Parts: sequence; C-alpha cells; structure tokens
Amino acid sequence: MSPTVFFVAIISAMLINNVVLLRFLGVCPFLGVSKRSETALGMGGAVTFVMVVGSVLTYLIYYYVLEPFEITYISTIAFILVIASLVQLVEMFIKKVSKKLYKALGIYLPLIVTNCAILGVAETNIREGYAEEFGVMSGLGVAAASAFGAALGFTLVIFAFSSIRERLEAANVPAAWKGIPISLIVAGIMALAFLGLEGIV
Amino acid sequence: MVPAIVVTMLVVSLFFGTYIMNKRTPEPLEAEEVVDKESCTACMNYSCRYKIEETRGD
Repeated sequence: MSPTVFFVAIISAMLINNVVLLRFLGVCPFLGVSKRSETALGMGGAVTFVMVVGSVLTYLIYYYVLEPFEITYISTIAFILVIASLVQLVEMFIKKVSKKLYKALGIYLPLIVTNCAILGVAETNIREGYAEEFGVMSGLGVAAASAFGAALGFTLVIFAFSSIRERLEAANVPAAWKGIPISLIVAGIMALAFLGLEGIV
Repeated sequence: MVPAIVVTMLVVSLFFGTYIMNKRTPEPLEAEEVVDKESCTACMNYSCRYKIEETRGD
C-alpha cells in the first residue's frame, strides 16, 4: 500500500474533516480547557494518545469479535465501555509509572471518557470501510493514521483557540461579549476558515 | 442474542474492573494540587471527578 494513503488519511482527518470545527465533536473540552495554552496542549496530548489507541482497539473488536458473531448492533455500547476502560487503565498506569506525566495529563484523562470525539472517530473509522477497501489488517493502519490525524486536528484547533482566548483577555471587548460569547464567535470564524481548506486533497 | 449478551457483560465487567482498580490506585503525592480551577470551570462535564467535588462543595 502506498504511503500516500496514510498521508491523505492524516491530512484529511486533521484539516478537511476537523473533528471540532467541521463535525462539531468534542466541543465541551474545546470550550472548557482552552483558556490557557499549556492546558490546551496537555488535553491535546492526552486526546491524541487515547484516540489512536482507542481507535485501534475498537477496530479490532469490531472486525474480530462483533462482525464474526453478527452482533455489530452493539458496537456503540461496546466502544463506549472499551474506551472508558482504556482511559481507566491509562490513568492507573500513569499514576504508578510517571508522577510527572500524571501531573501533566492526569486531570484531563477523566474528561476524555465522555469526549464524543473519541467515540466519533472510532465509529467513523468503521463506517469509512477501510477494511473493505484495503483488507482488515491494512485497513487498521489507515484507521490508526486517520485517528492520529483527527487527534492532531483537535490539538491544533484547541491550541490555536487557546492562544486567541489568551489575547482576547487583554483585548477591549464589549462587556456583553466578554467570555463565552466572544469565544463562540471566534470558534465560528475558525470553522469558516477551515471550510476554505475543503478540496485540497 | 446470546453472543450479544456475553460480549456486553464482558465489556461491562471490563469497565467496572478497571474502574475499581483505578480508584484503589493511590495518586502520587506531588500531584495532589494539579487542578487549575480557573481553567476547568467552563466545562459542564459531570463525569469529571473535579466537577463532582466542586458541586459537592456547593
């Protein structure tokens, strides 16, 4: 399989089908954890890890457990619980192994359990039909690349948004627009800017 | 129907098992005061344990 396929999957998920601005998934952490650049980057790192590992796990469960037994209709509940379990395991592992990493990522991990972007990307990877197009194992690579691109897109957007919000705090904004209202307007303008990237791949 | 019930029970057990194990794992001492209240009050995620603590405090 050509490396171009992976490149296209990453760029497409990161910029053209951005999870936050164009598919409106993961908006809660996007608004809640974007007041400071450092916290935004921490959240982005935690989401990247869980999104990639979660997508790989859910992909394998779908094609090696749910599909052979013809029980794909329980995929959503199975995916939710598998992702939640993964987050618990990751948090436990970080607590034991790296205090520094726990300090950096620990507070964001509980937020990821209910981050619909993680579930959305896992579901999208199945619906895109990578297994039918490339075969199950090659499709797994493309699904992982797509999840990585989506996570990079999430990190890019939340970091850019946090940088803008930091500058907005010092800006002369009308009283009625301060806080969340001006943030939502900025998010809307960012979504319009991302629409301009449509068609580059 | 039976495989669906078995798989559902398995993933539910997996979740509760990992949840209990995680709760029993002590937090590192240096990481007790890592919550930046100012930067995490806008999110209304009630599954977040810090949000729950904040609500209980009210």
